[in-house]
Amino acid sequence: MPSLREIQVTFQQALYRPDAAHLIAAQIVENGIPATRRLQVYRNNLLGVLGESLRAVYPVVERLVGTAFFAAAARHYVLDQPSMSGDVHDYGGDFPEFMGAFRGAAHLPYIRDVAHLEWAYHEAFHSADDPALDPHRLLNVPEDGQAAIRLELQSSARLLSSAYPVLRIWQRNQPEWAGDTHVDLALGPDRILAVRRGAAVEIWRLGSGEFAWLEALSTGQTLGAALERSLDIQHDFDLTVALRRHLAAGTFVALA
Amino acid sequence: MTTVPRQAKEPHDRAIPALAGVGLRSPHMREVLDTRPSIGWFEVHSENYFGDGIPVRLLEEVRRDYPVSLHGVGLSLGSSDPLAERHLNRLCALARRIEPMLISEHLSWSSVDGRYLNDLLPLPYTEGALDLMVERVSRVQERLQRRILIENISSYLRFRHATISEVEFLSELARRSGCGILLDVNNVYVSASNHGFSAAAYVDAVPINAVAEIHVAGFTRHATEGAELLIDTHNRAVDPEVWALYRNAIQRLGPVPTLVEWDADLPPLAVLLDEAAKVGDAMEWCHALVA
Repeated sequence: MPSLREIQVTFQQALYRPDAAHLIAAQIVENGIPATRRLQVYRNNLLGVLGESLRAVYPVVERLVGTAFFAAAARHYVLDQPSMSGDVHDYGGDFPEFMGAFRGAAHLPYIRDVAHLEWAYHEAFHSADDPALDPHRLLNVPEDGQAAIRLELQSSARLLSSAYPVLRIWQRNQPEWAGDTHVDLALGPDRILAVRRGAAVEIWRLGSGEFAWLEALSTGQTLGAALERSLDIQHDFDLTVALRRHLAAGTFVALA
Repeated sequence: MTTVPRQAKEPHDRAIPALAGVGLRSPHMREVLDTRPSIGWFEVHSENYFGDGIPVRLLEEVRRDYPVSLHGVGLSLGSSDPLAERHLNRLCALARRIEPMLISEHLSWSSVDGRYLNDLLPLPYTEGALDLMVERVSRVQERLQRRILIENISSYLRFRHATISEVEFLSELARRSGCGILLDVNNVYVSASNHGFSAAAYVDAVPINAVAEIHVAGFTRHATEGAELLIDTHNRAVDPEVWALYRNAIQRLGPVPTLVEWDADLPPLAVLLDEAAKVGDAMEWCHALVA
């Protein structure tokens, strides 16, 4: 008698590789319907459930490449990348890199970065909305100590940069967008912050210095080091404006 | 390992009134919060509210006005892998936050070697699989500090080496672990058709005291190589024959909280609520029959 583990391993193999189905097929009661046909229902479910979860996370990618192309790409991805969680919302984080390398999508050089933006949105949507840092905590720090401060970003905050105007592409492919969907690719690059604020995910376009500054802070660098980094990128970066903007919006949650 | 005693009925258990509920899916969430429709309770898929994101915040708003049941689809109770502790931790955190009236999972497995098929897959109904399910359901109940319900699934294949019928397996699981049964009469109907057993006999064999919830839903017929497979698609209204089986079930079981599930090709909320009203009609019919 096969062990439960043997049954489960061979069942799984049969769904990913129909040529391996004979191992589990021998254990199945056919009763007028071939075992391979019965297994096909489960293979369809696997492709259907994970394919639908990719569609739910990547609607703009689907719109850009078309429904049929997306379905074909999703099928490849699902058979190539097993799900590692019982929660399908965890599935599909590698899809942007997969799409970037997918044959047939080469005429859409920005597709990888658009997909990264959609995954960032998805992650922010399912992340906590932590209480914002009280701006007074920063103001109370003596001026000569401010450079050594570290600011912690919202756990939902995601920073992305792209050589392409991916935020415009994303915005113009939302269901509610009524205008022209054409985007001039010369309008890139885009630097973006996606962050949950209350009951919504907000996506902000950032200046080059502001992006470098937040990125440095997000990796644990001090305010002083982050400022230096952003001034290297953008010599007229205005720290006061950036601080005021992100303190008011609640981008930061803690200070150390 | 300690098992939850069979007689230890939780105060929550019958706290969901024997009324109709509907499966709440995210496209209907806004309308439910805005219009507060008249319905006994809502059931949601637990995994859709894991973490601390926007979805659980909306569910908390629903919970203020309605009883909520948490229905898990991803715990993979029947897997030969170790129990997924992270998944269970997330479920425990959600249960603390929502204080659900019921918590349920499935008589199935969905993962092996850490890889998930994210589907409800059939177990071989053997003594070994029963021991495993009893142990794991008991552990989940200990962690949640309450009884859970286990639902019979729709299945498309059976294993040759099975030694126990599904309804016996489920009944023994309930008896030995103390769990309740979520009787999905659509799944009974679908599996009975796919495997050639009697749906009526299955419903007659379920232990009356263990059933704490019933599901009904729509299925799809697939002609295949000269035979027919019924697929549990949850994409349409409940079949008349499933309603008939449901009436038989409540005639025997008495009134039980009953959920209408609709997951794909989702209709307007009003259509779903109309479908749920048929549960009330069936309960009245049953009551009239008894009176």
